[in-house]
Amino acid sequence: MSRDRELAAREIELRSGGFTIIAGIDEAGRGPLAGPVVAACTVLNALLPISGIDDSKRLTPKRRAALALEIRLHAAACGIGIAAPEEIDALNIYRATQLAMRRALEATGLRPEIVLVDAMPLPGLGLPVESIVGGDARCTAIAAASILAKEHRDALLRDLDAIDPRYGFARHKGYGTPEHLEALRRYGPSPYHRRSFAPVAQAMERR
Amino acid sequence: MSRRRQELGRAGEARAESLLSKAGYRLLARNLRLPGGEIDLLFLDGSTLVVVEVKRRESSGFGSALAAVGRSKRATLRRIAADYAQIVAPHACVRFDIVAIDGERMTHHRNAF
Repeated sequence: MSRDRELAAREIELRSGGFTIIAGIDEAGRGPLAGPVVAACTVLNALLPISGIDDSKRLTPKRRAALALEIRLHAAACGIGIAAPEEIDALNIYRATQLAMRRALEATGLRPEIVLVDAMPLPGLGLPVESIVGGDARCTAIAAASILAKEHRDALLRDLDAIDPRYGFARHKGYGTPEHLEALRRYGPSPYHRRSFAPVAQAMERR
Repeated sequence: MSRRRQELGRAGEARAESLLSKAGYRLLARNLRLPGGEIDLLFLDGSTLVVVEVKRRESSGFGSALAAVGRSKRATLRRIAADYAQIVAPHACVRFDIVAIDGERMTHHRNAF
């Protein structure tokens, strides 16, 4: 079975059960020390299938960018939702991720019949939600969302790097690389850092 | 319908599904139950919705499987497919194919009605 068909299996089952508007949601950037957590929601158009959609972590940056463009062109709807570093600090990363996911769904302007989410419950939507472990590698709509979320977040971190080039956001996208940790020690946290994350809190204490 | 006939029906649909998948069609749904009837297999061929009726006949004594998709069955399929397409794809072209299974022989009739 081809990879495209493998990822389409759950959606074929749902469509066979009478569902027509099927949304996939995924997130990027739960782990980094800086920048927002970004979620994307996609409702793919069954009549305009896109070949090669897969978990964003399995794609080269070039392939991912090309697919993101194709998804935006062909999907029935796409939405991006963001939770800012202050929200992450106030809520904790888990709940901030759910908040970003709800915002992504709202941003589509659609009310899907079912929502597929990667490995996370998403209560309070008033919609059927199916949480699929490893969904970004097992389901087309979630994989498409993972691609859009990753692309959007990377672009945001490149913008932050242009505003404040001290930390190297464009290179590590906020993750705790040696370069990033060294800059944190030297300059302390920026307004874009997640102060509730241990390495950032330690850098603040030391100053 | 007896258990055995139902199982034979499912097996036929699975054979038809693999035939059309190999031809490059994308499966959208199988045994799609809609108000007024059921679509055995729903595929996408390019940008055309393809409604597939799988018809199995064990012996050709009373005519072939193709002929066994009668006028009222065709009318039902046209009606439920039109209703479904109205919701999911108002501008898509819809085509009706039959996969006829006569014993071991399987024939795909494009644009059968």
